[in-house]
Amino acid sequence: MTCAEYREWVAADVDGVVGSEAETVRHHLATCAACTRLRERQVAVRNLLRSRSLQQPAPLGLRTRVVAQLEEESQSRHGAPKRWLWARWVGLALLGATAAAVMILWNRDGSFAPLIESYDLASRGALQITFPASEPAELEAYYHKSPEQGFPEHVIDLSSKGFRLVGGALRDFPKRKARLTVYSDGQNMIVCDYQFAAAFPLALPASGGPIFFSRRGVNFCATRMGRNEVCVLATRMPMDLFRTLVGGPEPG
Amino acid sequence: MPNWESGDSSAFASEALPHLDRIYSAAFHLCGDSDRASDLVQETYLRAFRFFHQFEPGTNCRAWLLTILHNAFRNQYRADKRSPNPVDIEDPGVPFEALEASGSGNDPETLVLSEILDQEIVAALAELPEEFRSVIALIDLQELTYEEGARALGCPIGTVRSRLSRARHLLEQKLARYARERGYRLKGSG
Repeated sequence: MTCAEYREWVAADVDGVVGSEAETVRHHLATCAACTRLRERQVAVRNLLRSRSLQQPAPLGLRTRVVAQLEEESQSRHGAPKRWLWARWVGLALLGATAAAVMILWNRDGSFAPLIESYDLASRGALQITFPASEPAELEAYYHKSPEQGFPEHVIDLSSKGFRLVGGALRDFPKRKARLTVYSDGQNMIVCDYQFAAAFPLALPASGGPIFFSRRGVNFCATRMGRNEVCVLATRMPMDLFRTLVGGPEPG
Repeated sequence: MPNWESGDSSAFASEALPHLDRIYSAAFHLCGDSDRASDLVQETYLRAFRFFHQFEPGTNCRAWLLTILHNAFRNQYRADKRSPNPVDIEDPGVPFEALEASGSGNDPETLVLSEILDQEIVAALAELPEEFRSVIALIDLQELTYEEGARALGCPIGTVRSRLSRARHLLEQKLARYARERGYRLKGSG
């Protein structure tokens, strides 16, 4: 046994609970003055702790408080069935309210689901770009000439923000044809969608300023454009960067 | 005796309540504060009452209550920044070498501890890191066996053994410091 090992055992040695190590411990102490001194000091501390009256008296009234608390607990056990019935109705009501809230949120999220799916396809390079273009005016001319009804009327220029135009993608969204405009800065992507203001599920400020929100890890910026349109930008870049990027001047 | 109807409740009262003073004392040494110790004792007795069916009659009820006490303490107070000397729950402990370097390990004289006052011992104990305070409170002050201490602390017996060795060593150094500051006599110095 080394000195370092004995130091781990010294308390047990002093307390007489070294078990099968007893012989090893005795042998080490017989040859080590330093550990013998260590043992003596531990004996002194142990005896001091066990000889003094270090018990702290419980404050007056603590026993009464404990007993009162236990009586209350005991009584609540006997009253449990009634409470459970009451709690069950509250629980069911809460469950119903939660389910309703989930449905509402699901519907609100649901309207962004096709855009989230399109964004993720674009970020994997799997979104079919119907009209590749590097100039906004070029893509806008294509949109105006294309026979499908819908938005956008114009294409945002994000080149000053470091995002180059990749092109436009025509997508079948529920109840409408979407014209998605795709941008990239080489690392992050932004997909722009135009939606009908009347069908947009979130409240937009009367001032016309943008709102930022997240759905399923995708960050959105929505801005009212005129009476009937809402410009929605979607990205998975961090929200603070996204806000800094598009939060200043209104898109467009 | 409280007016409880069920047999379990009266059994709990006769088994557990007689230990209240000792449980409070352990709580005080863990918390270092009377108000929090009282709250901890109330919490301990409430939990013990709820789980009294898990207590095995004939075993050490005080050790069982101390296990609940230590669990409640760990849950409620260890994350509390107000707790004296909070340490990380996974802290492996202060190595002996570090203790030696800063205290009486280099001092050839052995301290005469008998002159140390009770309140000085309590104060020195309160200065120890929580894991050391706990092991001394349970093994030396509550006189649990190493097996009972291991159950209460939720650690292997080997950990109790080494932690108690360190704890006593550290406490002795703190007491030595108190003694020097107060000019108590040291063995060999007259």
